[in-house]
Amino acid sequence: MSAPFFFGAPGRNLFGLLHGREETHPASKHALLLCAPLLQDGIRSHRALWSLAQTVGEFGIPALTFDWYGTGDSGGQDVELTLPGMLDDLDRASAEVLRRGEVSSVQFLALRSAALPLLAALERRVDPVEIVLWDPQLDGAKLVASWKEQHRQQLNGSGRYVNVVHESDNNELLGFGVNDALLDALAALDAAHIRLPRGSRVRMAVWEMDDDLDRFAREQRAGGVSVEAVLLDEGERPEWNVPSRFGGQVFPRRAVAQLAQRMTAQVPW
Amino acid sequence: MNLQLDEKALENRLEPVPARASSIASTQEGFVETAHGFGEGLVGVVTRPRGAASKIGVLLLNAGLTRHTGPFRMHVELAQKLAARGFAVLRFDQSGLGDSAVPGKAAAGERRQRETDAAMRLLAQEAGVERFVLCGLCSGADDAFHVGAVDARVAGAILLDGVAYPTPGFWVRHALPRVLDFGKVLRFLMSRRNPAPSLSDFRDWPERAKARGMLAEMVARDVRVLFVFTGGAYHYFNHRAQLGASLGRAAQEKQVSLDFWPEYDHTFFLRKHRRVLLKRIAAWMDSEFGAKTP
Repeated sequence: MSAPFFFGAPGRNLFGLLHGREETHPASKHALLLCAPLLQDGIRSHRALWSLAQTVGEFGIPALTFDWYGTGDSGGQDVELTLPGMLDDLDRASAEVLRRGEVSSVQFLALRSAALPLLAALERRVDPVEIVLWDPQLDGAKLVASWKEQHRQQLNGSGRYVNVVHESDNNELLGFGVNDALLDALAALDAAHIRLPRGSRVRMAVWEMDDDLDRFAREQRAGGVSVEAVLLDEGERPEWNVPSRFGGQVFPRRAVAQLAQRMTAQVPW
Repeated sequence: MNLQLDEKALENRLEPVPARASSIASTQEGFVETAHGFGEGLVGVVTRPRGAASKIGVLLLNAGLTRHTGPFRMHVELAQKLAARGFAVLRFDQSGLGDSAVPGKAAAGERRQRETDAAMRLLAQEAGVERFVLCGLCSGADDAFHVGAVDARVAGAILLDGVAYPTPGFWVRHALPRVLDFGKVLRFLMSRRNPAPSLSDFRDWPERAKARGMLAEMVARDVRVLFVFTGGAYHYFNHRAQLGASLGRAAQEKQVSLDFWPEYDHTFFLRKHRRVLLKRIAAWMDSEFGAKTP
C-alpha cells in the first residue's frame, strides 16, 4: 500500500508518498528515503523509483518518495528550486519518514543528479550514514554543462519543431524555469570533495565505472567511508542523454529488481 | 471494446468514494490542495478554489506514461490556474502510472471507465462538483474522448493532439513538399519494407465511422469540446479543415472549438508555449462554463 500526503513547513508544502505494509508495526528498524533526480530525469524515472519504493515497502521497510519544493506536486514554482532549499527538504523528508514509519534510522537512495544535493546534505551530519547512489552524477560542473547541451539539442537538433526555430526564455532549461543560483551552486559541487561522516557507508549501483566514480570512491575511502560498487546489467542501460529519447520514460526493470533485492537484504551487496 | 455502463456501476456512483488514505490540506494563495488515495490504489491531488467552486470540475488525465503532474509540470500549473478561476481540478494517475498501484485484471476500457468514475466521485465529494470536463494530451485525449462519449456526467472535453484521421487532403499536403526530395522518398520506401512502430500505433482510436458517431453523440448531449493540435501531430493532422473532413459535421457544430498550432511541439517544451495553452484553456473554460472573474 502507499499513502500520499503533504508535509513540511507552513508555506513550504512538500508532497510525499509513503510505501509500506498495512500492519501497524513495521518489520524493519530503518526506513528508506528515495531522492528523485532533477528536471526531466525526475519525470522520466518517476515510475522506476515508485516501483523500487513499493517493493521495499511491501517487504516491511517504510519507503518514502517525495517531490522537492518547486517540483512535482510540492508547493512553489520551478524557479524556486534551490540547493539550500533541497537540503532543507531532505531534513524534513527524513524526519517525516522516521515519524510516519515509526523507525529509528533512515537509509538514503539517490538517482542521477539527486546524488549531489543528498551528499551535500549528509555532509552536515555527525553520525555515519548509509547511502545508495544509483547511476550518480557526481561532478556538478559536468552535470550543468550536460543539461545545457541537452537543452540546445532539444531546441535545434531533436526534431521537436518542424520548419520553425524557437528561442527559450531566460532562466529556462529543459522545459523548466531554473534559477541561475541553482545552476551555480550545483556547478560548484564536486562529490569527491564532500566529506561524509567517518564510518558512513556508500553503495554505488552503476552500469559502468568511470573516472568520476573512481575518484569519488578513492576520496571517500581516504576519509574513512566505506564505498562499494555493484554493476548493473549493461543491456538495459538508459539512454539518458540521447535527444530523441528525451521524452521517453526510463524503467530499467532488472536494475530495479537488483536494487530492491539488496535494499531488502535478500541478496548481499 | 465495451464502454457501456452497467446498472451496478451507476448505483455505485451514488456511494461515497472509498478513501484509502486521509488527505492533508496544503493551502496556498487562491487555492487549496489536498492529496488523496482513492479507488483501487489510485493517487491524485485535488486543487480547489478557496471560495465556492463551480459545479463544473476538471479531471486531468495522464499524458502517455507521464505522471499526473504532466509534462514539465503542466498539469500542476493548469490545475492552479483553473482553481484560481473557480474550478475544482483533480489530477490523478491511472493504475500502473505515476503514483498509483499496478492495475488489476480488468480490460483496459473497463478499467478506464471505472477509474474515471472513481475520480469523478472523489471530486464531487471534495468540491461539490456535479459535472466534469475531461482534459488530456495524447493518450489522455483518447481516454477523454472514449469516456466523454458514454458518460452523461461529462460536460466538456479538452483534447490535446487527440483523435483525427488522415484524409486525402492530408496526404496531398503531406506528400507534396516531400516528393521532390529524393532522400525523403528513399527513406519512405525503405521504411515501408520494415515499418517501425509509429506514434499512431500507441493511440487508442476507434474506427473512423465510430469516432464520428461518438463525437456526434457528445454534440447531441451539448458536450463542449476543445481540440488543440500541434506540430507534434504532423504525421496525422496538418490543416484546420481536416477535423471536419475526418470527424464529420459534428466537428463543425458550435459546441466544438479548434486550435491548430503547427509551430508548437507535442509536449509544450517551452514555457511560452505552455503559457499560451493554459491561457487558451482558461478562456475556453470561462466562455463555455462561466466561471467567476479571476
